[in-house]
Amino acid sequence: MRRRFIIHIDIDAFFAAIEELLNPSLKGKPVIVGGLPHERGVASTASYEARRYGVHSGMPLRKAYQLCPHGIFIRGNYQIYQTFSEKFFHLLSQYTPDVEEASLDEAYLDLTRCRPLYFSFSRTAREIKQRVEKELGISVSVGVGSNKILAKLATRRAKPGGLFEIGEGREEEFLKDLGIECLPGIGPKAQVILRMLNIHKIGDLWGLPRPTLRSLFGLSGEELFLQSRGIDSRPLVTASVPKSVSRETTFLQDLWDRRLLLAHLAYLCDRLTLPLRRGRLFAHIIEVKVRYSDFKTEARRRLLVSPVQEMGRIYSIAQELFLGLFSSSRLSLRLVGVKASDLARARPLSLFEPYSERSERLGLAVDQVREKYGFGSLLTVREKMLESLYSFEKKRGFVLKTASLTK
Amino acid sequence: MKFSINKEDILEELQLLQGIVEKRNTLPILANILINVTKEKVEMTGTDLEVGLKSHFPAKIDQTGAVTVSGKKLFEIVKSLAEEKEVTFKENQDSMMEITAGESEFRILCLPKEDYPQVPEPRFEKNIILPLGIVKEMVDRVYYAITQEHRYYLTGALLILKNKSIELVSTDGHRLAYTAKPVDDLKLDEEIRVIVAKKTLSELRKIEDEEVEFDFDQSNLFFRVKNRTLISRIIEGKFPNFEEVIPVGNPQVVVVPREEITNAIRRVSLLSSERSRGIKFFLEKNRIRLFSSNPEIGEARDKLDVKYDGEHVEVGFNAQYLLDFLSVVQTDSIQFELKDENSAVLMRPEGEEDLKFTYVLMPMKI
Repeated sequence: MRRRFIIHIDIDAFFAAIEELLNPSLKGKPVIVGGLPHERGVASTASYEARRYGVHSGMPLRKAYQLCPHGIFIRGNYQIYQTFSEKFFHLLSQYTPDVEEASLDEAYLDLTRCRPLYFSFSRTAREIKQRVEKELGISVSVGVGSNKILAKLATRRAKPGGLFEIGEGREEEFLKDLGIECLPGIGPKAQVILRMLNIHKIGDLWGLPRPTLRSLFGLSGEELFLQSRGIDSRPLVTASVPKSVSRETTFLQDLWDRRLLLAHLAYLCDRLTLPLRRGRLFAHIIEVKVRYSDFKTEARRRLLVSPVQEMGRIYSIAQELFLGLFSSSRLSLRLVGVKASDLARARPLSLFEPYSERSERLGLAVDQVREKYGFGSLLTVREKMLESLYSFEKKRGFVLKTASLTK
Repeated sequence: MKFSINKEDILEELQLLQGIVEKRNTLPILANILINVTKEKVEMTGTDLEVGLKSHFPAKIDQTGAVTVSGKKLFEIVKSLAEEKEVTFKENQDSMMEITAGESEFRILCLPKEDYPQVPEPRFEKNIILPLGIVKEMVDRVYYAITQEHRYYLTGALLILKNKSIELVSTDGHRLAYTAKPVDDLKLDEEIRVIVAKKTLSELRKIEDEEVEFDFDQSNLFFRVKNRTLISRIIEGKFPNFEEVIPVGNPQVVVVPREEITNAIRRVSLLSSERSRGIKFFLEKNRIRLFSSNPEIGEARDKLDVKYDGEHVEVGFNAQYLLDFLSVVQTDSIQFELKDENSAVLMRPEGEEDLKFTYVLMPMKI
């Protein structure tokens, strides 16, 4: 089989890194995202400073607090991380269409098909790392290898913040001295069994014949046999359709002015259509959410037979839903959000409105202008009304309270 | 109010009525049926405010009067009784209704008859008689293409009565089903066009008889089959201009065996996206290839031989929309008339079918 070229890229301490980005005074401090010390639940990310105290993700918050009482505990905002993650993947998708979203902060790239585009894969890997770090302002670790498992193990070696490449023919040398716990197929139970057999390193595993592994671990023994030799033919799982895309923001102060509320809504719809267009996605459900000044939250949704992607249509549905909620309210609002879900890549054409590519072409043209001159270079009149509330940057648009929306 | 009747003589009426009454419980009384006992007969009414059903029948009447009770419970009770039993219905002083049959006894709560909504009084003056069997067959051909969405004018089918012919059309904006049938006995001075609610069509399908009498006033349609009358609010609004979207002269014509293509579509659609159900058609020289893919599961291909010598066409469809049509056609083969991947395709049964039947389907961009 042709040698493949796989890059694994992982954001270091993702949630903590974003919190530091939003609040630079956290830099260099032990940050623990997931909840406050007395709350139930577990730490979802710990910064490297916090890890020094033994805190790791998945650890109960109380325990983390015992280990690191002066740590900075943050509940976190998933919405922001989500948006950031979309940006991360969009950047990666510029290098190859074969991108697997392993999680919010972890990706595999397969450059094999794009071979003619790149002079040197190693250099490309370095370039990707630099670009992500420069444009997103976060540190990533990158591993390069001839398949997914090797690339992932290389990243493990590179962490934090490095790049490691397993060159052709160096696989055995690399694997030999790694601990068996590095292999994804080996859980705590398997570890106990193997350690009793005096097997501690991946190299030690090579001495076990395939039937022995199979009798010990069944089918996963087979997998272990291949994994331990750095053999992995799994293709990347690409192009999965996301469940939903959403944008929301809280206001600087509670709002009552209907025109300003609609301006926010329009801006959020505009922000929302970007990932839809990029993913060639059409939404069958549009949902609008509001939170009143008494923190009560309400939402309304509409199920559509003809799915939508264009900003104009999404906004007109969102506006109707919003007014349905707002016109019966006696309270001012502290948050508004819009969500597109039940997404599909296909769109049925309408019998009574002849097909035209106009709106799709318009959307693409808007994207191109913004790509070049910044998001704020093209806005609708309604969106422009936000000028009275927020500072405006041509590159990024309005700087709303919820930072995720302004990047 | 008190009357007695054989279980078998009332059960079918109750079944039809409980299909009419409102099931969503917005207004409790809409879940009830009105029972009105006069000296000559028992009359029962059910309605959800859109569609109403009145049915009358003779019974052994002891006392006149009127009550309303839960349609569903009444049906379940009578259904549970032993066969061939005489059932007695009696209103009590304490706004309860007593139902007795042999050793079985029930008491169910009534709501006052004054609260029951007015169901318009049907009237039959125009003397329009339609063959029920044919109407039902036509309803089957168009029923599935009526939209679920609340674009009001579309939540029914357009009924067109002309001198000596009946036509029925439905559309959900992506597809259109049209059927027509010559009826020599139908004599009309002027054409009638009304939108009939989906629920009314569904109720018509349940009724067995040879003919149905039809009439309407400004706001309601009336259908009468013997002792039963359906009253259906006319769906206001303009039915879309369907004649305009039926393509004429699509250049690529191919005849396809119905069963083979149905099975192939069923197979390929197993791996289409669950949401869009999109599959791709490749019409090529002497064959049709089908393809679907779903990034989360995998992909499927199929192929069948046909006689075709026209241009290659590559077009996507919602598999469900194709299957809906194919499952109501009875002929051995189907004629497809296509133009390109952005234009409506026309399908019709090839050869003998009793009815004229045309299906227009918009492609899907995949």
